[in-house]
Amino acid sequence: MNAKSFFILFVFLISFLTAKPVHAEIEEVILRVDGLACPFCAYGLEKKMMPIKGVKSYDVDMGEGKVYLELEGDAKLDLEAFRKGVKEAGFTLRDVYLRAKGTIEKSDTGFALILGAGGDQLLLFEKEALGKEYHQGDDPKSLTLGQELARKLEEYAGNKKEVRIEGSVHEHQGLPAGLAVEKLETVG
Amino acid sequence: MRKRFIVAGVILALIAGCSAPFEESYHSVKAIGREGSGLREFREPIGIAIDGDGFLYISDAGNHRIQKFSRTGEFIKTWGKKGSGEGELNRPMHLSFGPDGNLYVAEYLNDRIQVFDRDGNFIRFIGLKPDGESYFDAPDGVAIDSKGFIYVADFYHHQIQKFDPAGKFLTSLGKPGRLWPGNLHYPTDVEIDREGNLLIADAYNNRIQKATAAGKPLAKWGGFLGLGIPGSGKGSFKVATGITQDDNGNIYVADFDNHRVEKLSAEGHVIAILKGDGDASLKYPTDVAVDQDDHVWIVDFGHNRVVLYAKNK
Repeated sequence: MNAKSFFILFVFLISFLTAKPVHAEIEEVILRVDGLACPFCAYGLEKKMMPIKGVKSYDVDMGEGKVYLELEGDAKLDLEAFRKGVKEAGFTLRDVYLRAKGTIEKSDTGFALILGAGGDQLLLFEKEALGKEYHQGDDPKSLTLGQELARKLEEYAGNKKEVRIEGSVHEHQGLPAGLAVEKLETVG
Repeated sequence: MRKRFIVAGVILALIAGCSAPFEESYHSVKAIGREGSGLREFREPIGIAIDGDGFLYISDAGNHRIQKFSRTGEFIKTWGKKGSGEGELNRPMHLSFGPDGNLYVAEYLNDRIQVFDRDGNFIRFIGLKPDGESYFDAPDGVAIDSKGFIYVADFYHHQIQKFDPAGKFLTSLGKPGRLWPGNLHYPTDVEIDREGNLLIADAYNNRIQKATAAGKPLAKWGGFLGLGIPGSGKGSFKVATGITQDDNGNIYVADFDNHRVEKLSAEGHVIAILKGDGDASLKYPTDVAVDQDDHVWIVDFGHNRVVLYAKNK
């Protein structure tokens, strides 16, 4: 092997070994909270939310009752910590809405957005599935992926295209947390 | 027949009492500030204090700083930035001057009181334990009596915390609760009256309370029998967030959700309502102060400004 070939192989190996897996990045989490009526309330919620692991910044729209959280790059989406923080501040969490960027994976349970290095996933389903009943043991795909959404997710999972996805987080008993998709677009 | 006349007379007297004009009325004179982060701009202003020379100090909570103005509205200086070091602030709330001439600022997210001189130079912290923990969970109001004892409205503890002049913790006053005298529910401000008693903005009980310096309840006002039923009528409050007293003993309450300030006599009778009209109308006022000319300065949180009111002659 001559020096040039060795150099090319060396660069290839270094790139391979140092390449980071592509994980979804949560760009923003929006908590919809009942009762955010005054600065004492809003700052109280800030006080309880900022210490949560992974929370990088906090902003609030008191009039709309919305809290905007920016998470650290590899932060885990800790719904339980969000619920607890909101409750300790004296409020009720109505729902969690998020915007994330990443790739789609297909598995036996359906399509999912993989989050962070830990491999946590968000199952993806139609917004209309929020009202559907699900019983443990049922096929998760019964939570409905409409034809159009299923086709897109199939395409994006197949070609590993990076997407930006938005929706409300929802938990059906017996399943990992899911995302009721409201917006889906490719990135770049 | 006689009974009917008596009943009718009582009813008419009640109606006349309810609709009687207030003893005093006010008009707005001018406003200082607008939304922003520049000089003379505010982002979520909360508290106001006036020093012995008439200068105004306003806590600009969203910008994590204090701004100082003359009574004519001239900007003097600003200090503070977001942080936890000396001179840094994190959500400064209500503030007061002590008999030492220094400015005491309640810092909601740093869980402490920070003391400055009138030029913004750091003096000391109050409320921190030797291990670094705090006595507070979201302090939002502070008052200092003539002997230098410090009283702090502690939002999530639903109490007033009392310290000696050196800053040593003494005791907690009041108890969490909704109904009884001495019960507090998310208090947001505290003031010392002319007799050395405490006046407390018992915000989410929709009432104000008066207590001795030892915490013995003396009176409560807000709705029927001071039970704190929220309302927008005379003498009722919907989230009483700020409180102060003038040299004549009158009490002013920032009535947040009613977008007004109520002025009460020392006995709790409503004397005037300050709310403004049109462009001068208040939106979620959070604090109030009275200057040496008896003019009333109101922190108009919802409009990110401070408004000056004068009494009509």
